Amino acid sequence: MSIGLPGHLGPQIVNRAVARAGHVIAYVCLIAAFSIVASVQADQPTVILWPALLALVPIAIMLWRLDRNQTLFYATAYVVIGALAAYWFALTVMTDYQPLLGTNSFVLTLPKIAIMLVGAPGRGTKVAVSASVVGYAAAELAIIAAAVQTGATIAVDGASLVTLGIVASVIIILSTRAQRSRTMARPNIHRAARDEQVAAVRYIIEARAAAVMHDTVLNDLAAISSAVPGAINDNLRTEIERDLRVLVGEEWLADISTTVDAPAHDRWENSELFRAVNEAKRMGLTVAVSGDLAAIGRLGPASSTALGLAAKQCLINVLKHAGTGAAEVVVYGSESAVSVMVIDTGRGFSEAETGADRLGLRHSVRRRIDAVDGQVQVWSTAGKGTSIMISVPAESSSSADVAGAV
Amino acid sequence: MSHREGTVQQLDPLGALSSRPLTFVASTCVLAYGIAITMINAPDIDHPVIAALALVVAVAASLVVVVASGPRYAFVKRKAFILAVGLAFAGYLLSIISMWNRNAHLRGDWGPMVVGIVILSFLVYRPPRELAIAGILSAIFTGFMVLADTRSLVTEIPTIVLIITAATPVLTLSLGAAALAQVVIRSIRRWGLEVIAAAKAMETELHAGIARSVQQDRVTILNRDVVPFLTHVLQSGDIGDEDRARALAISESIRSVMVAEVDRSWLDSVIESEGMARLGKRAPGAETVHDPDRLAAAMTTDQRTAMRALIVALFSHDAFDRQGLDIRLDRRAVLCVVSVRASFRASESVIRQYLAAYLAILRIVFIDFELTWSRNTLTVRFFYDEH
Repeated sequence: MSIGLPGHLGPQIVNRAVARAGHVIAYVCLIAAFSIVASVQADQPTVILWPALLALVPIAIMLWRLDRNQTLFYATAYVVIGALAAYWFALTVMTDYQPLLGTNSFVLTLPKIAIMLVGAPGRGTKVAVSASVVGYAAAELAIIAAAVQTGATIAVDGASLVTLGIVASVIIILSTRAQRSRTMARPNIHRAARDEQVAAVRYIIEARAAAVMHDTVLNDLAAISSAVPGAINDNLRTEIERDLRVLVGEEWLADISTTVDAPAHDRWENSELFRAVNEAKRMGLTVAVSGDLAAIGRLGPASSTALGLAAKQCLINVLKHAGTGAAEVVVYGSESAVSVMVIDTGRGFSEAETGADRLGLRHSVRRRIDAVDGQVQVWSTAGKGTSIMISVPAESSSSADVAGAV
Repeated sequence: MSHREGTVQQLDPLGALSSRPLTFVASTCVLAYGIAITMINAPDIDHPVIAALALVVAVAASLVVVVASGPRYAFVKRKAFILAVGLAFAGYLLSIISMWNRNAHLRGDWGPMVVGIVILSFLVYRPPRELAIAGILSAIFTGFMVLADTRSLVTEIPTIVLIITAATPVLTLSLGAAALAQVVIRSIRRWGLEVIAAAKAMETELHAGIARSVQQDRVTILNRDVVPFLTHVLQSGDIGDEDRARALAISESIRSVMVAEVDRSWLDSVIESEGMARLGKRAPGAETVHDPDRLAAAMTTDQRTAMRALIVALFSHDAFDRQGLDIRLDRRAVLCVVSVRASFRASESVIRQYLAAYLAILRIVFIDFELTWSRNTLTVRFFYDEH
């Protein structure tokens, strides 16, 4: 869930963002200064202003270096070289172009702003504000020196001072706000996200547990309750023995993907679906299988198991409820998914009306398939039969999706 | 869920909430700067009414973001941004008109700075790219404004210099805002990827532990009735009428437990575990949660997280009245609607402030959001798609 940054990262990131924004503004100021001087030079070719253009180049180069390496060394170098270059810039402009004369001229304000935006991320609010003041002072002194040398007017530069005030306020306000937001609800929401994750994992595991319970114990109990009194039949005995062994003795909820031999899944004969079909046949159902059987090989172990067990439950439902002895299983494979359709021409039903006793479709089919991100669709008409389509994502496509998301 | 635009507000709603007062600061700056420059230019103003109107429009421009970022709206839309910049230019134009006949000498105008501040004030609410584009287009418009304002100005300075001078504040403020927003967004995204990676790692660890505990629970249940019964059937080798009846009874009892579990949604579990943790007694979630169509299951992970956080926050407040909590999930047209009604023994402002962050998150992850307060009862309604 995108719920923003953790509290401890807030101030740090805001500082870095303010420094970066400052550098972008500094570039804009340098480009504006360059454009103004270049325009005047183009307008009045007799005046020699082009050396001022050259003076802006070292400031821009140092700004580029500083933006890539925000160390004390580069910050100092930027201010020192920037101030020297500003002196050179001011000297050229003041000597040769009367209308831009005066230390408060807009074109001279621009390099001052560029240099005051030196920035000092990661060193605290005081250092960041001091860096701006030092940058401004160095640039202003350099330009005053040029004014003294050329006899130009020295005036208070209101625009620069106001900008300095704004820069300092922005640094102070943003970093204190970022710190304050630490005390807000953020940790509680991060905790809720973690709890939600735990709940989601538990839900999947409980769904699997419920489905396994349904496939084993409930089926066995149903078989016993409907058995003919007398000696227990061999099939049922084998089934019960196997179920007891699995439920009590094995870690049946351990992640399937780690316990199944992956290459074996490439083959249809080893798939859970194949086993499901055979089991249904053993129980007396006539099952016709058709379609793209090789597609089953494209499923991951978990999806393949879920698909097989879900199909098995559908076939058991046909046997128990449809009133017909035959079903058809069709396998469709697409690039992104593998679908299995279980079709019968029996009684049909309405899922909503099946009531609490028909847990099979909900547990063993829907929840199981939901847990592997698959889909189940049921079409059933009373008297005409039922078709259940179970689709699960193919392994190659789901891994591609993950790669795309990252 | 609403379409994500890649704004700071959408990626970090809590950060955006805490920086909302800055929009008031921006608005105040517009007013103060506008008044100051208007007073400096006073001798040039022929139409004081238009000059005043210009200021009103400029302040209105700066108030658009204040209103649009308020609790009524999910998040700030592009329309609001266009409206604000449009109003800023309208104010700028009016201020030029108020001094239409006096432009014989150079003077400063508040227009470009106000346009820049208005764009800057959207930095949390609009994507960086949009801020940058708005800045560049506004700089071009500013150029035309300067042409209109200086049509009969006689000066040695080329007009292009005047245009660059006016466009610079617009460009610095908007591009600076875009850069700032971009760094913040990139950091949030990088952090988000780290969180996803950590969550994945945690999931694998979690899985083993939870699987063991769930299996243990089931085995305990099975050992009580089922295992002894099945073992007895296997050992005796015979199934009698009594066994058949017993099998039916056991399977009925297991089914009823399973049905109850299936019917219990994640929302019921949250209410139950919170009630347990805070009050030390188990309260069935079904008493509080009315979800006949089982719509809670259709919420996305983000929506569940936001709702879970809200419920935990409600239970954590001292003035919260647990008996007064009522959560309903219904369908309304094509959407699902959740209504949470909670009673408090505290004033509206206290509760609103306490819940502000959680409500901000709800506003972002759900489609629509309504909030009312009457007689110590807060009602929050939010909508989502049934997936």
